[in-house]
Amino acid sequence: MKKTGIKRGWKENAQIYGMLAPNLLLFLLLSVYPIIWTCRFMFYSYGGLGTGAPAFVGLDNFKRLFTNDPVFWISVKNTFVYAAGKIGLVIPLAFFSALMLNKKTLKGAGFLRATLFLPTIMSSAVMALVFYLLFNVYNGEVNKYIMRLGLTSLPINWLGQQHAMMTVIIIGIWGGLGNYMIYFLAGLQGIPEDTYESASLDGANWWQRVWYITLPMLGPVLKMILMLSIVIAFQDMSTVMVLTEGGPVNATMIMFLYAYQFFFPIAPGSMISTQFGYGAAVSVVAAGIVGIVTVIYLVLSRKLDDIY
Amino acid sequence: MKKMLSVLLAGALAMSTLAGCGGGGAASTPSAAAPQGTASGEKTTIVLWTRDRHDASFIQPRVDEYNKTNKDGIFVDYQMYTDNFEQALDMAYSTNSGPDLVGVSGMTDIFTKYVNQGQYVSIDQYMTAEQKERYKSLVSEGIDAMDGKLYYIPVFGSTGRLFYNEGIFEKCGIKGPPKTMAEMTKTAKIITDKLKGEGVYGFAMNLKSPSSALQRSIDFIVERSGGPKQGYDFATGKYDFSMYKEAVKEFNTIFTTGIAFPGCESLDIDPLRTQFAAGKIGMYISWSHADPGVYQSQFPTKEKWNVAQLPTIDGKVYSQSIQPYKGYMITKTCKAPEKAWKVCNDVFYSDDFVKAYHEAGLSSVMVDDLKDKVKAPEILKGKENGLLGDTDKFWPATPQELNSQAVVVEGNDQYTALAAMILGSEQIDSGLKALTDRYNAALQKGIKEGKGKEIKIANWDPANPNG
Repeated sequence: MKKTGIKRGWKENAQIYGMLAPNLLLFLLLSVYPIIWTCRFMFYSYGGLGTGAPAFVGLDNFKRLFTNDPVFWISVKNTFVYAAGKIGLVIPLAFFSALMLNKKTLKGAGFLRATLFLPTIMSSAVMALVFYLLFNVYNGEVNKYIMRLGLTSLPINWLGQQHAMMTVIIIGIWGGLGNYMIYFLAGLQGIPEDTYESASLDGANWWQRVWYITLPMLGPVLKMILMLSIVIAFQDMSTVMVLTEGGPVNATMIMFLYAYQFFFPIAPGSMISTQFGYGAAVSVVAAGIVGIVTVIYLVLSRKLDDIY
Repeated sequence: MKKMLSVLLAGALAMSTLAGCGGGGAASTPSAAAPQGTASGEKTTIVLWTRDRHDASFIQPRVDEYNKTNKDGIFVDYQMYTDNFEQALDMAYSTNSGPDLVGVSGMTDIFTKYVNQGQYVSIDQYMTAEQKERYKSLVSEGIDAMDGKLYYIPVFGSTGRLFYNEGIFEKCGIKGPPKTMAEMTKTAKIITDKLKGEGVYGFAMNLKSPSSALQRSIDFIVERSGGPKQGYDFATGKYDFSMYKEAVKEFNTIFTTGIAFPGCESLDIDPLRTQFAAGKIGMYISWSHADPGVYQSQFPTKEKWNVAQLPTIDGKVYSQSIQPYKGYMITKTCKAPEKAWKVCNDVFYSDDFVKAYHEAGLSSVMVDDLKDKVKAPEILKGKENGLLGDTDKFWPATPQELNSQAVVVEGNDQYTALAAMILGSEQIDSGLKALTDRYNAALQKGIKEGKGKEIKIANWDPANPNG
């Protein structure tokens, strides 16, 4: 009897399963399998194809990571600086952009939304090359403008050791702003207009309406946006890879770029040997760090689920 | 339950960052459209992969001509790859779908790593006795041969040279290029002090990629000064970076006292060349084979530039290593190795091609009996230092060059560490000592694991590295 029920369930849902199957297969092949592979090889010394059989080394890779690899910990610090800088600025900017562009009376709102969203669909690696032309110290346009405005008398070395991280954060914000703005816009459009009207009748000003109505009612959306922004910020690396290759002298080396270079050399003529085993250990620890940050965030943001 | 879901969600998100880790590679850009490894009509397609792009305008027409005129039924599919060449080869070899011929440019893993894997076939079996005799002097263990078997013929060679702007030198009253590192610093300072107001600086380096910048510069300077090769001392069979001290100190002065062109930390070689072509840079160091051609085709310039030998630490000159250049290896998956070898002979190793390539200023010929027959390239007229000379020699391969897995260094590699010292973010003495210790520890580990061996040469003479 039960078996017939299951059979009927399969038949009834065949279309759904059929549609899910390609995605599920690709997910298993391209996500689950590499994760299992990574989790296995973190206990091995292995240089990749044709470099000899993988040798089991137990926890040696982790011992090296925790006791003898200062560059990894520099990359962890840099990742936190990058993520904090990017999230701390892009979320408020995206929120206020969405607020402005949500006004029905604003002319050209569609054009402005499209313009702000455009960077999201552009290749960050290609844009990093364009940003090099804008930010380089010897003839970059950014320096020309700020010097013309009298903000500085000497050109700023945007990609030098001192400022490279700030520049990478600016580019990260440019790339992410439109995406988060769209999420906020979707959330804002779900807030009933009459709530604002009644607040206005009660004498609430613009800021009070934002603080007491918009933000609380956006709680669940904000929670999702923040979580996405954390995960994305922690694994952003294409801009850094093209713009600075993690330099100068590791000033912009971030966790996943550091892991990546053990699998694929990022610099021409690089003498860093491929180290799949150690790279796997670095990747897993980096993923663990992102996991811990996400758990902390989820615990701290529980209140955001409540809609007033 | 909610807590459990939260933890699961966090875990899934964290793991997704792992899966995304391999997604940042740039796509390769094969230049030709012919299907790989297939026969087009009755012709046999020989797929050739190279990473050389700078000579495409020279080579492609010759390949096209060969495809049209050869009567052996051969079609050469000449494909150029970008910086992810090794990655593409890794993928191809792991799926047995590699090209038929692979181009070699410089000492890279492309030879040693894949020869160790058995991906190439020795060309000894295809060479005539006459050819073996002719190319005898070009056979070097670890460079183009392994365990006595030859895999390609490096008909050209390249090494590091100082490129300088004669116009800027004249403007500043500088008589000639520097002979020592201290002179180079002094010359660069004179230029910067005098012409900084016009946006002209004395020296530049493409330090965005320290390995790319320092392999073509400081490594050769140290070799030429009687020091080790990439830190490896063949006299003792150990790493010793102490000889880098004086050169690092001079570069450190250039880069920390405002002498250098601004923004070198993030400067790539092509933007550097554009600035040199624009007359904004007094001196820089690069490959002898690549840069002369660049100023003819890629970044044409009206500036009066010249080429000089690299300075040494104290002015005394020993020798510097030659990087093998423009050889082609036949892969084990090639279905028609005889035809692939025919392509090498008919096109790339032919006297006509070698002469024309040399005379176009694209590289220096290494074949002994051709050296006297070739004319000096037009673009190197009056710039003869751009050609290979008496002090440019084949050096033995280091243990790391023979097998990159033999010296797996923990922490920064030598080039990142040297760049840190040059840019002033690491102490020179302690930094070099730490580098020596880390490299020796890595070598010892590699030897213990059976991946590498100590290479110690009795009576080692850096002026005559091949004895």
